[in-house]
Amino acid sequence: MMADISVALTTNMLIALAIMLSAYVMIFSEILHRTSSAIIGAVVMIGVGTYTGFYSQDLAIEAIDGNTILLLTAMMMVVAMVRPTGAFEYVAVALAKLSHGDLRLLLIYLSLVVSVISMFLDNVTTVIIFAPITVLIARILEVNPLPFLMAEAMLSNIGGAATLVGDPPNIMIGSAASIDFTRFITHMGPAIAPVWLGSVLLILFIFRKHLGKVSKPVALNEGKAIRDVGALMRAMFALAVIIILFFVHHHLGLYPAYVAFVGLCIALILERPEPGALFGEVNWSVLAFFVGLFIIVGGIESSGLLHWVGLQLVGLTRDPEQLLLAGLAVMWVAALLSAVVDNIPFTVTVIPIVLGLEGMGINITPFWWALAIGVGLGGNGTHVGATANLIAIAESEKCGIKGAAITPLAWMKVGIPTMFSSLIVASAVYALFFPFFM
Amino acid sequence: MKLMDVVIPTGVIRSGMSIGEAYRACVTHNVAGLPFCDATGAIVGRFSLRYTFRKHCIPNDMVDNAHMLGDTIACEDALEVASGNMLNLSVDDYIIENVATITPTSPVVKALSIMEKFNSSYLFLLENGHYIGVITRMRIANLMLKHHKLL
Repeated sequence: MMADISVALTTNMLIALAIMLSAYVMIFSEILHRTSSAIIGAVVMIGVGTYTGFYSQDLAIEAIDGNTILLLTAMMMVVAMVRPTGAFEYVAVALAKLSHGDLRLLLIYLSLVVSVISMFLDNVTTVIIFAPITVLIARILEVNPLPFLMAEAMLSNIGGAATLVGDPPNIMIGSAASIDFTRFITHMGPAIAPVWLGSVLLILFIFRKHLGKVSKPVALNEGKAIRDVGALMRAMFALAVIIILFFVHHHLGLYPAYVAFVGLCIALILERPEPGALFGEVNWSVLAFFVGLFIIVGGIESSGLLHWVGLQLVGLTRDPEQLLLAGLAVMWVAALLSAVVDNIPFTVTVIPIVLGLEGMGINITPFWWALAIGVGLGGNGTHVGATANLIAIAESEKCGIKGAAITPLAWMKVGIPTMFSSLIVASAVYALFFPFFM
Repeated sequence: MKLMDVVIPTGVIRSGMSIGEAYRACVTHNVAGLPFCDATGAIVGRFSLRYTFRKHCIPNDMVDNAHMLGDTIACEDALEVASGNMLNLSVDDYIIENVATITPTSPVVKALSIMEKFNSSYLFLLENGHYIGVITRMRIANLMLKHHKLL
């Protein structure tokens, strides 16, 4: 039972808003772990919503985006089987040798490979794998790993923004808007490619004093990285099937989550992993966090509050001539908020508002792309803007190399210019080719 | 086989001792770790060779990618070890709180089980709360060989 749609704020809306804000304050302030806060918020929302009549257990279950949760689950398991093969370490060392001591080339190569991998796999996992090997390469070359770690985290975030599966907010946006993988990459790709290039050039410029040439050899044997060639081939085959199916899933009428599970099944049959170890690699905390958020926002939606918000925004977006400005506003607000707070709760909250506008006759398609660009690029602004940033920082702190530790201020000195230049480039592409994004 | 047959009597590590002194005590008794006692003599932690090497000499990135390391690598951490600066540091910052202990009446299989559980090659033998010495896998293996007249 959903609350009657009202043009005025009702008590139920205010109750739902209070519960959501309380949960978000707990999440952002980290009073409790963010997953714990989301679960508590969800339980309170269901309990209070059921008592006051605007929400129910059935509606809460309906509010969970199964495609997002299942896609993330399957991809986490696939990554768990790809990761131990040593393929990523092999590539990193091979590229380090290919750069022949030219640190600018090394930064470009590592950034490129991290970006490409982040387009198809979780960018946090990508940075977790690449950060230690990057530090080791820098240690052996006797150079500061800081520019490389920052570049990897930032360009991993940018790379992940280009595809449907590269970043959790994209999965949620794609799922809510029924945007398939190919349509996502063909729309986001042209916007993200110049952003990527501009960001690399900017990072090369900022760190120009650190990026000279060194004569020391990379004393690492990449051949030893691959522990089991057979396992590598099997994992890569499963991954290749998933990526190919991602490009055609809409023609076959398959959900991205189902595609991921098809690849996972292939990997399970070929690899026969030990279930305990495999399931232990799934980040259940992240999945529970998302489920909690979906339920909280489901309560807000069910109270009618998001419809009310949509009614307030409809005037701004109804005029087709204002659509571009509205889209740019969505992009920049999403980016600026994503720079300082977790972009997942923001995305989960905004998605139903945008969907609500569609029911009021607004062309919401440009907002999806603006939202995806904004939340994808905003995370680079500060050290807390994206989990990949925190991983790069943690690696820089624990490596013990003099001058390598990335402080929040050091991050912002590079992150803020990178974020703003990225947004300017993306805004220019968005504005120039606006009909393409409609 | 009784644990008292394989115990290695040793001294203990105390606050203010240097890592060099602790290393010497470990090397003298051929053990990988020793108990760390407070002023009252109570065991409040342990000094471990492995932990000090791990904390001071081996970066995580090297451990993670140890299988790929070439033979010509050199890094400042290795120089730190060679210069011996580390040996002059106080042990106080290198103490592990969790301590595996056992009593003389316990069977050897229990001692081996606790070592396995703690991922350690040694544990400390206590009698009525008083420290007796270190039990190591090496000493247990040594006694097994002697018992079966293979040594």
